[in-house]
Amino acid sequence: MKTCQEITEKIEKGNVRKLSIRERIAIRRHLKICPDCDHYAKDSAILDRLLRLELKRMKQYKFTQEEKSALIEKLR
Amino acid sequence: MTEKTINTSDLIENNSDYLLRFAMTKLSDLELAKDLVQDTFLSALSKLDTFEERSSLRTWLTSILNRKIIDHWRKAETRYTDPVSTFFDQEDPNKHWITNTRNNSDLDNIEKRIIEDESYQELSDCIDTLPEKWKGIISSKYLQEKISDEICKEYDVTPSNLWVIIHRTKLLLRECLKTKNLE
Repeated sequence: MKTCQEITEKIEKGNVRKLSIRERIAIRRHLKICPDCDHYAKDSAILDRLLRLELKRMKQYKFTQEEKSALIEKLR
Repeated sequence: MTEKTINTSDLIENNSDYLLRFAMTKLSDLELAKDLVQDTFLSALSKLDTFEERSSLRTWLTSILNRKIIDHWRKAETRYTDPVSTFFDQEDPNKHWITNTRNNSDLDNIEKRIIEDESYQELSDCIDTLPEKWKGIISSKYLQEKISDEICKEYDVTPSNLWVIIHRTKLLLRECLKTKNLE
């Protein structure tokens, strides 16, 4: 019997490594009887999508023109 | 050997904003990011001879910057309180979820709203609360789509560290998003 903590860690392990059949069965069994972990599994997939979106959007950080000129001056 | 020369203003005009954005995906501190970009140009110009034109100039600059960011983490690395005990009951043999952190609120509604309203600010605020090394790891994973082995090598973590970090990251982000949506 695996704990909720272990099961949800294994879900993330599954995104990094291929899980064994035994591990996959343990997860599936646990999710059937544990709504909280089942919820985590769904949220985990949502967070994957959100993180991809957010990081692709890359905040528009810029140097000001003065900072650039100062930098160029410094490197000359 | 011919000395390689380069137009400094072009170099900076063409690459500084790109490098700054790259640095900010891995750091939370804008001033620090600007300093590291400046250091990157300094190092690049001082070792221009080692630049092999197999890779693009930008790729080369990015790799110098990336090493500077990793060096910064090595120096700055502090103990981070393991948040796991805030989510799972460590006294319970089954380490079941602690009731008040259970997620009955719907992250899928939050996702829909974020996308529809293009309100990414709360998400990026939540990402900024993560330890810097974790932020770097998720940026390598989700932005650069690096494979896990490469991430482990780059950040000096074992594969099991990696998925434990991703697990903790998601727990923290979920909690943060939920809290912001209750406000």
